[in-house]
Amino acid sequence: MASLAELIAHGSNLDEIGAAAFVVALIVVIGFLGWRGGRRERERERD
Amino acid sequence: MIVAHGIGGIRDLPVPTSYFVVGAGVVLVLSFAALAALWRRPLLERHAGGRPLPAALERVLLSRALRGTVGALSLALLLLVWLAAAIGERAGADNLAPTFVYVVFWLGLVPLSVLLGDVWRALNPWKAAADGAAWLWSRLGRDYEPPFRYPEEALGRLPAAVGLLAFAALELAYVEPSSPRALAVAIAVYSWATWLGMAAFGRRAWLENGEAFTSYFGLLASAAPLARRGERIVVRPPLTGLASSLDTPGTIPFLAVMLGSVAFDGFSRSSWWQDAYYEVQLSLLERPDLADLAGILMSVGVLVGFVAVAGAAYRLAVAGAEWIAQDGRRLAHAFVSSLIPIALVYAVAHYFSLLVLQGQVAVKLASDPFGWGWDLLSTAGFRPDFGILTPNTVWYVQVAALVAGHVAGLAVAHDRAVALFRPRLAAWTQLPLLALMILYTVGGLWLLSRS
Repeated sequence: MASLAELIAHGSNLDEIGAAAFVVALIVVIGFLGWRGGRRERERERD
Repeated sequence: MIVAHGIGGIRDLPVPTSYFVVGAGVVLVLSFAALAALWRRPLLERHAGGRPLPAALERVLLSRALRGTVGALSLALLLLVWLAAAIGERAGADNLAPTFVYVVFWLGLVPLSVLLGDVWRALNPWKAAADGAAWLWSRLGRDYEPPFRYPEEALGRLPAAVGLLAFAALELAYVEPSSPRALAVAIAVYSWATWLGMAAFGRRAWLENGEAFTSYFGLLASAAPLARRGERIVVRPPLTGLASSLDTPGTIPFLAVMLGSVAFDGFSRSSWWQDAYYEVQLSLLERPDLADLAGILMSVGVLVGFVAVAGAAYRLAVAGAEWIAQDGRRLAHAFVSSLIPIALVYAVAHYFSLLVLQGQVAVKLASDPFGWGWDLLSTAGFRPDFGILTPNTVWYVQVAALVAGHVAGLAVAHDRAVALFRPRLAAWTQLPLLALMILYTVGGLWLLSRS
């Protein structure tokens, strides 16, 4: 299996690394929004 | 003999494949936002009742004569395929059995089920044989009570999930999946297991819980625009049949097998897997039996791993939704029907090219099912057109199917959520499901692009 340095050195893999980073970032943002939205929604219900 | 499930690589796309991944993620996020803003009341359930077909057509479709004829033909076909597998030509390319089992039956029934409803219920040859035996038994004035009660609450569809996993292992992990003789053994074992299951627990209980293909095609058919309602056949908008919770235990593992096995099929054609697999095979060159066993164990292990990951990802997303809702309700069964469109498009994306290409070979083999040089239907000289699909056409269909199926999955889950929660909370509970859909879509695209 290629090392990270080899992956980065290989031009076409930059695309894949970028796409993977985008997906991870998207899921982190979605997770954060869900956590914050759920908490606010429950606070609103308690009020 | 079974052609590779894809046809060549994606070589001349106008943009890198990663653009498709990002685009798919963006489409899902925008779909989620549109659903949250515009879909504020449950709609699917309201339209699930549908309208009955004209009475005359219903009478024909539900008639005992048609059911008996279709059942008898289906049983005869099972016997023919088994005989072809057992005594026909040993080379899979010249024998009808492999193409029939893996393409005509396994892939061909998917579009039929999704368009026409639960056709497998009428076509199932094991059910037809059992129905025939029960009819004969009652004509002899005898009663039959199954000796055991099926533990539905404890096991549910788990035996069907195991059966489906075994079929997937035969197709994807066994060293010679298209060997007619191996298929003959598999058909015989599965037939007797099904008949014994029905004899032990009753026809209904075993078919609904233990017969893998009844669950498989039945779940796919629940999205169809045609459905049976008691003694009626109704027409309804597609997907509305997914509006209900699927409470049968074992449904989540079953759907995990559906998703995980197709994902493994894609992975098994990636260069990573091929390199690892053949490295092990080469290291055991002196011991071919051991090499076969190691290959099967490797494949089954990774296949089970993919199934476990597909199921665990869903459980994790549902746990997130439960955490957001915090009302103590268990939601796993409430949202599980959203996995059905995804399982469908995974199958379409991975196998439609195989169905279109290898399906043509079935026309030729139908005239000579045993490979003995017959020309029963004057189609033995038929030449399949393997150039009918280009690799890029296949890729675009795969991307479109995957994205559309996951948007449909989001819509189904969202509809269930607005039926359970107020619209705002419903939208928040769907964020973990959105993350799941993005993961499934991206994973699916990545596997397809690597195949």
